[in-house]
Amino acid sequence: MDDTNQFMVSVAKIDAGMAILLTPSFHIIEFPSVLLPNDATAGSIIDISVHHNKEEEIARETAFDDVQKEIFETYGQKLPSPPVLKLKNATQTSIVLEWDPLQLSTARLKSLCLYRNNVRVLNISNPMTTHNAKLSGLSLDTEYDFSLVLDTTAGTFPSKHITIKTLRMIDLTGIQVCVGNMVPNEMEALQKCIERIHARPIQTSVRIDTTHFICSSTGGPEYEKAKAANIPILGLDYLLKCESEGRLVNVSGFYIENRASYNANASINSVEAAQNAAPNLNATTEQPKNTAEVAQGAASAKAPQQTTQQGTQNSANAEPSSSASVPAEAPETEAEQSIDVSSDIGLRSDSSKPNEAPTSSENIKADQPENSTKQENPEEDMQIKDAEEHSNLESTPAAQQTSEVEANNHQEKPSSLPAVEQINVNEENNTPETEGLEDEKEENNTAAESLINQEETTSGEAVTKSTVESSANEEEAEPNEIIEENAVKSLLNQEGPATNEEVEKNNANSENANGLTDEKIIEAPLDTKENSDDDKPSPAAAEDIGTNGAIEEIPQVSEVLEPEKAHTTNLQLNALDKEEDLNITTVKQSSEPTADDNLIPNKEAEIIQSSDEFESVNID
Amino acid sequence: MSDSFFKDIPEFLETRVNESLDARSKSIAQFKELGPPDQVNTIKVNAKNPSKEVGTYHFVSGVDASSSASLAAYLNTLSYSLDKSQQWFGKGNAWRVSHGVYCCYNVFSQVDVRVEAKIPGGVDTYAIDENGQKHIVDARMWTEAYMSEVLRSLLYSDDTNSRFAGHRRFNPIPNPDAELRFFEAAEQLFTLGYTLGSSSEVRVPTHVNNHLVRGIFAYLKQTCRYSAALNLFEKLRVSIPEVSVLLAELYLLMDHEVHAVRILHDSLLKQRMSASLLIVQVKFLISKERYDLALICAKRAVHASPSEFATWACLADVYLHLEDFKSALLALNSCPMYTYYERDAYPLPPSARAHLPFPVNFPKEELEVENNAQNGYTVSTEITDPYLARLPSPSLRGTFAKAYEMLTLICAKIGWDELLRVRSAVFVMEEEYRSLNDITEGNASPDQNEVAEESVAEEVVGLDKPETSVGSLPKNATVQSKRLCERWLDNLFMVLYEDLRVFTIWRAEYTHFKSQGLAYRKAPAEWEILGEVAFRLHHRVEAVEAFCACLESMFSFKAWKTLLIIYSEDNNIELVLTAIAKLTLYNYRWYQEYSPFLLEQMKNRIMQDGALKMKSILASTRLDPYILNLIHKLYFEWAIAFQIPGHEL
Repeated sequence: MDDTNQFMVSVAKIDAGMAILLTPSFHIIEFPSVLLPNDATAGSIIDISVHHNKEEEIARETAFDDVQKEIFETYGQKLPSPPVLKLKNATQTSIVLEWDPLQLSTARLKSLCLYRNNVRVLNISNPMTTHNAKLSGLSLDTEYDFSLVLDTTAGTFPSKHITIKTLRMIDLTGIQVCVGNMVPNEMEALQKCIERIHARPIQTSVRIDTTHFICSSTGGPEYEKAKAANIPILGLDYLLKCESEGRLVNVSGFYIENRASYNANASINSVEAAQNAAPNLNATTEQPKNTAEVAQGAASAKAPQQTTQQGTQNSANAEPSSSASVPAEAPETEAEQSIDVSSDIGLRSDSSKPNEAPTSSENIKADQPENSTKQENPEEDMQIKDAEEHSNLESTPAAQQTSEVEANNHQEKPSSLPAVEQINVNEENNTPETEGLEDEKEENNTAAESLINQEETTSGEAVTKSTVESSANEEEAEPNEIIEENAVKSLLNQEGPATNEEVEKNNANSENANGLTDEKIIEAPLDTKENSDDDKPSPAAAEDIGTNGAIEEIPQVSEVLEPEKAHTTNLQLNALDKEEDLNITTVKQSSEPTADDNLIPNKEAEIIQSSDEFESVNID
Repeated sequence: MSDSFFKDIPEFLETRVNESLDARSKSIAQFKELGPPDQVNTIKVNAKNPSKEVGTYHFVSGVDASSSASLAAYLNTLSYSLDKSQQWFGKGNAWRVSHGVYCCYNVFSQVDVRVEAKIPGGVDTYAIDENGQKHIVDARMWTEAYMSEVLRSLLYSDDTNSRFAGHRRFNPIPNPDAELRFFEAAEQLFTLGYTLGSSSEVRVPTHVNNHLVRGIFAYLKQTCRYSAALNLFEKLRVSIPEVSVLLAELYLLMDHEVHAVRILHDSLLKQRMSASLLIVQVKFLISKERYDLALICAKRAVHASPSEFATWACLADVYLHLEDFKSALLALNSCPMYTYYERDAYPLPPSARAHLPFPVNFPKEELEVENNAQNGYTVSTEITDPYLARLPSPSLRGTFAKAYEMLTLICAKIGWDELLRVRSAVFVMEEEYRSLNDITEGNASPDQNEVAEESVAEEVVGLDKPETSVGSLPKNATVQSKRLCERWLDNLFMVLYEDLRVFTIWRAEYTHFKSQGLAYRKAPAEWEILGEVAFRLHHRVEAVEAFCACLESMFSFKAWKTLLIIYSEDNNIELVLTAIAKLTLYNYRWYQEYSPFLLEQMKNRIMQDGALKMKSILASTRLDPYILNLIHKLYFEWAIAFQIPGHEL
């Protein structure tokens, strides 16, 4: 009580909300009237007691410290966590990413952005409820760097970078199937097919990463969802086709909507489906015949070996007639043919390595030579698989016809490539790199050959059964041609100047380059002659043979006589190549008016097939 | 005489040479704030007749005032403008600048620094004090002059209330090197910042609440260059612990709120009664919607600084969010209010002639609406409702404007009628109090005409007058349980009533005309006023409607500026860019190349959406190429120079 002051005051006046108090020592105090007793009025005497309330003061400070502690622990301790970005699925042209739910702590979200190769590509809308994103329109077999950046009022938090690579055309592991109305045995077949191609587990509802919708018939809620999401709705045979071809196939032609009669085949299982494919292959028998004719023409274009080939052809023609008279010998002849086909495949796989680069680069649309180089290995694997299939089929007598049919399919590939190459010539021309130029030259040569072959075919006789047999005989002759070519190359290499040998010692790769150069030296003169043949009216066959033989000998002699001028020769060859481009254009123009009606549908078919391949890539 | 004017620089012709300079010298003692903009005086002589000379002047902001060389360089550029004119006319009768004076007010030392250049001749530098005496200008003086110049630019460039005619405005910090110099000067002068004064809402300037600090934060908001400020504040905090509050504010601005909370916590343990720290913490807690914690801190802030407006306004804001409107009004009533001071200016003698040329190659047709507006404005002035023109709310300033804004927020939440009821529950009005104590019954009866007029108004708008009838409570109970309403708050209620009356009448008329199928027409100036009324009362849809109607027939800077704010919050990118383009063009017409407000708006867009998208949208509009080049030069090149995040996207 010692620190308490007590005194009496009198109320001098009560005004609006304020009272005027007067102490005995005449201090004037303004005092809120609300604090006075209710019955106080002017003239009243009030007792006032004033002391320091230290306990309450301490309590106030303690309470304040508690509040500050609460604020600090709530808002000053924990930061948001960086987002966790993961890959959900990757296909040839698209990627589906997902991330864990965001941990914001007490911060407020400002934005969530997806970065690809350090460039912002997507601003996620509804970041708190969205946990995945799909990016389309990507390139085949390409690496991408992704990161997710979380921007909040407590700072910016980027996720770890992840590197993702899109798939190759032959990689089917990115297929994500959602099923609709399926009959039981088709469902079982689908399960096994998915396991065989190592695709992703089957979905029963459409998701963001669904790539294909497989069903036996239209209808159902998931079917409608797939339609709305623009997912291709296909039959089971689509996957079987992908499996048999070992690569992603264009979806056109497999849409379930376009097959009203598909329900009739509901009972087909995987084996039956394969058998059902056989008639389709038979339906395309005519095309292989045309291909065989093209191959025959190509063979006839190579004059130095033509004499030998003609001899072979004559003997081949004799064999069918003799076999006809002796029925017992026919099976043996067929068996021999199958063996030759197998060996032919083996040889082709070895010799076709230089040609793989342009082929794979065109199909995959890869502009970078490195990518095209990588693609060579998968191609070889595919061919090896095909060879194995053939060897398996050989053991079955009834499958001999099947092996022949597939052999014809193999022949289709060389013929279809030129068309594709022609379409891509412009793209190749835009590539400034040396490899691009080399590919271009080879393409031009091949294109010229195909055009020339078509013309000669036009002048040929009508297609007959005997022609089919003769084309089969031509197949037998091809291995010999390849062997002879290799022999010629080895001779040239041995006869090469000392400079080439020294280069080989220094660098093994340069040996390959020399090999390529040799091929060009061999091929260029032939092309020149072919062009000259086209310009002239068609002379007698005998004269053609003689003229070609005479001209061919001269370049070889010049090369041997002047080895030191190899560089000069190369420069001249480059000039010739440029002239060839012009000649090729002329050839194309001249060939169009004289084209036979029978050839026009084939060209259109090839163009359509090529465009389908591009479309399939785009759609995927 | 017209030949003597600069080609593209505004200027005023003096009746007597150097009369404007003398007027400025006499007024130095009157400057209370940051001082007036720089003044440039020139004297030109005729080449043929040297005795014939004319004096002109103009104002400028944003020029580098860190040395006499930079100011002399500016004076030198004026000659180029004149030479171009000579080439243009191809006449022998040419004028040349013979004498120039650049005046820059140094607010720290309260002297007018002047650079006097004679052509040909030398450069003379001196400082004039309030008594007219000359002083030497040393390095320290130049630093102070430079900072004064930059602060005036940063804080006053967007001020449309006291706009000087013929005022050129440049960016005071055009590149990162200038930024470095700015922060170096800020570090040297930081301890003198409180001598500059502070905003009109602060009673006592402190180290952390003054014009210098406001300038620093104004710069930080328009750019995102925080590292220099971070270093500055960390360095200053060692010797001045109060700077912690600036550091916390900076971290919040940088969106590093966790760091800010930690700094606030550590600082409050040492400075337990710092109102500045508590106010920052309250604002943060409000943003987190933790109004319970915010209330505790706000109350403590009031106890820490009961004589500051900011603490009471902060408390009222918390009560507003808690929807405790009675307490909000009581807190508002307790706010100390301060007198508002206008920007420093001085009376100038009338000029003989004003020369305000268009910039070179300016697309005049873009502002053709403005030309029509100038004519239309004369016409619309006659038609404009004088009641609308005299609305009191636009003239509110400083603490009164802030209090009025809070009142409008309460009204927007609970409505006018409920607001009146809340007011009656907590306040006793002076008139009401006097009537209670008035013993005599001989009061003059109200005028009948006035009553009739009021009743008519009430019928039309359906609003009750703010006067409340005498309650039936006992006299003593009423007096003691209520608080006397401050006179200024009572006035604000009347101002709010006027705004509401205008808005309500407008909407009622609009609805009536619409139902009748009639065309509702108003003068453009009236549309502008209605839009501003709607915006003040937080009716955004109606505000946009009114502003768009105004812009159909008149260019209105106010309308475009408010629309820019609304579109920016709605995240309407295309309209935001259109508004920025219009405002930039208008500013450029009146020699303003620098606007912190527009720069901040564009910076926010670039950060959020990327510069590439901005350029694409601008390219898709049908704006004149002149405007596109202007925007590219003023904003996109600036974003590249300062590496604004998003400038490369």
